[in-house]
Amino acid sequence: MTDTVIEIRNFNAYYGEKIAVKDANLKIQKNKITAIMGPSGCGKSTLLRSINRINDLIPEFKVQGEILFHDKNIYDPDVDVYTLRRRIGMVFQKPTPFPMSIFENIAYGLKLIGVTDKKELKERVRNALEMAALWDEVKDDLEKSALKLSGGQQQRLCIARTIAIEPEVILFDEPTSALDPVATQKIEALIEELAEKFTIVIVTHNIGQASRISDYVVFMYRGEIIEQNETSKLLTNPQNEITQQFLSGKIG
Amino acid sequence: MKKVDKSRIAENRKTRLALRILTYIISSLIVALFLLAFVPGLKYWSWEFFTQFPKERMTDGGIFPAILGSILLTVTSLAIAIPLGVLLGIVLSEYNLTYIKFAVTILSGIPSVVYGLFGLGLFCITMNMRTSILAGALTLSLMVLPVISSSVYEVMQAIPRELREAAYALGARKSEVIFEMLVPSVRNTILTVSFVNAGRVIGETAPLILTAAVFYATQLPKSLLSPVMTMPTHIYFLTAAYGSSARWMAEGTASVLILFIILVYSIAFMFRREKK
Amino acid sequence: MAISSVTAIAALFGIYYYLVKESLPAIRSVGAELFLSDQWYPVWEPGEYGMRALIINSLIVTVLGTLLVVPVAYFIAIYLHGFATKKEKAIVRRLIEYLSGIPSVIIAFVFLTYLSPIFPAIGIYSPQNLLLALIGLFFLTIPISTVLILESLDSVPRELEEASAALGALPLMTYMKVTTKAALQGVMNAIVLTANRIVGETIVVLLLGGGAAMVPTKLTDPFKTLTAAIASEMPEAAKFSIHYSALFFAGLVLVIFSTVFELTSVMLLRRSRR
Repeated sequence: MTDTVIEIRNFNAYYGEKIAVKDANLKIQKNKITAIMGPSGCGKSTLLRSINRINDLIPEFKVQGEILFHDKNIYDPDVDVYTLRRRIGMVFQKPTPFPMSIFENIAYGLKLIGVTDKKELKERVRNALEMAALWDEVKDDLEKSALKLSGGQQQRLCIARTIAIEPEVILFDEPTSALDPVATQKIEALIEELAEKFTIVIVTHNIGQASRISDYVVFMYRGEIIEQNETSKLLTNPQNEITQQFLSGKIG
Repeated sequence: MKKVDKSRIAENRKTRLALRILTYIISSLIVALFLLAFVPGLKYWSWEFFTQFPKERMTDGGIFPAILGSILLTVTSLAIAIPLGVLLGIVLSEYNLTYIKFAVTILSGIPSVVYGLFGLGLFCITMNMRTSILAGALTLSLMVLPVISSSVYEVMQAIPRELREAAYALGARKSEVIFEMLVPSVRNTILTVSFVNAGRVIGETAPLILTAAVFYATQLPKSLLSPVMTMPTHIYFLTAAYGSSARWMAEGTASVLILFIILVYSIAFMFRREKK
Repeated sequence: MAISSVTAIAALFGIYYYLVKESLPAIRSVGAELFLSDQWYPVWEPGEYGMRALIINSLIVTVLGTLLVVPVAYFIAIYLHGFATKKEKAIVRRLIEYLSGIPSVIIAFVFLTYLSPIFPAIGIYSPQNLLLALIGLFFLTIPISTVLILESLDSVPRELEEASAALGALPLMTYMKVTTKAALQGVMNAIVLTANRIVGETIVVLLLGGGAAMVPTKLTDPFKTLTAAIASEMPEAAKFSIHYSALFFAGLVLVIFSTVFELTSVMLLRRSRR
């Protein structure tokens, strides 16, 4: 039986007066890959970024409704948002390596959670890089600046940085849209592997990507969730007309 | 199941509070500085103060010659520095002249008193201008020219490449592109920069002590080759040479000077806000 | 077009050339004593022209002044960058920008009038001293320091800060460890330009520092810098005398300092442009 890790209930999100997400209801299942798909501007990124509350950094952002993480509403006033973000990690669209060495990039998160022992740091950095399929390419020079890596490598570094602190959930916000096809394929393969240990939510505007790697897919349009189902079912037999139009390329 | 850890939220709140206190303390001190500089002199403002010469060894009279001198010197310096500085900034930006750009940067860092030395040696002595408005204006414009041109250079560089490419693609010549399209688009910045530097020039003291200013002028300047009094140098001389008997005049002068500068800077900010 | 370029190059070489030319008499007749001696008695018969104390004082006030201003400016910039509300940021910034317009002579005058008398009142011998000058310099340079640092921090792409936040970092940690590192060249440039401003400052150190051409041993000692010497003594110095020439030499030393600072600044900015 599947179990729900995150439940989004009657969730609305606003930038000032403008509504970006309307009445969203959604359950994310453990160790599965859930894709949120839709044309540009449909609110999928906003919804994703609400799950780790990274939108809090934007001044006019407001929410209504609930997002439950293990049955606790993350928007409750007594929730420590910093701990929340360690348990729900995020990888962004544009690779964002810190201006430090490869080692320091990954150690950054580890030091944040209190790891100070040098041996443990080295070990966990190595594990993270191995899990992100980057270890072999960088192991000879971990002190090199992360900015010198290629785009695909930088993105895998960001993934390694996120998984090093061992979150439960990883959110991916269009992680391959800035990368070439070869790098994209490597990352898609990586994400599929990661699903064994983590719960994955990925935002994409690419139908092919959703069909390749996701177990569940959620289709959004203009701020609303139009349809959601197991990927195979939704893609072969969409129930809603707008979904059909999107899948056949008429919109988006 | 999830650990609720309030201490981190509290820590962030404490950090914000501490930094806020620091900022507010420094800001209050700055406001206090403004008030102490501006308010005590206000009571000396009067018709006589603005229109008369200093009298009775600075215990009476007004600062008219200093106000006039400041205005003359500022206008003259800027009349030279702004056109040349803007031109230089444009040239540096549109033609790739790295070495000159380099020279300009170094020039902009040279201390004002060294410009005074140079002006004294070259203009006052060698070119025999003696202590005069002309020597002072040339010195100040030389001092301010690199700064103006650097600012203009920066803003010209910031114009998106597409705009230039579009203009050239329409077949315009280089000079047309520059003067009919690029420069007007940065008109507001040029005005802002001009007014900010005007503010700087009005307040300059050290170079003028060496090249243009005298402690006491018995008459108004007859030509560009006459010496002048200026407000900042007047404050300096009063403070350095006279004791508390002249303090009232220094305070009054300071208030007038601040008023001028606040006006000029406010105009500069106004132009800055107008930018699209 | 050519006129302005020629003016610039001519100016730079002209200044160097002129300073060297006018310093030569002093260099020739006083020689290395200019650097090595502390005895600065240019109006005696015969005069003594040891500038070492003046040079050291210029450096001391620069180092101390920079150490005093930059940390404060940095934390104010951090507050404005990441913690302040939009309104706070705009108001404080505008206030600081107006402050940058206040002439050094007025800042010196205010502190001389209100702060200087306190020293004799609490038993300190010299009403003008290093401490008073440092306070004046603090308010003089806090604007450029803060604004330059703030602009560097603000220019860091937001995604970098979001990535740090997404790992659970607290805002201060993000700003100090990630944003500052990303803006490092800009911050260092701010430090260098602040130092340059201090070394070149004349009126504040002249009116607030006292007149002694000696190296201060404690904060409450009076002192004199190269800039103060030039401004206060040049009007009295006989034209083309050794004193006159020695002061030009002081100017030359100052130009060398500021050239070094500006070159450093150019190097820093060049690296960040990659």
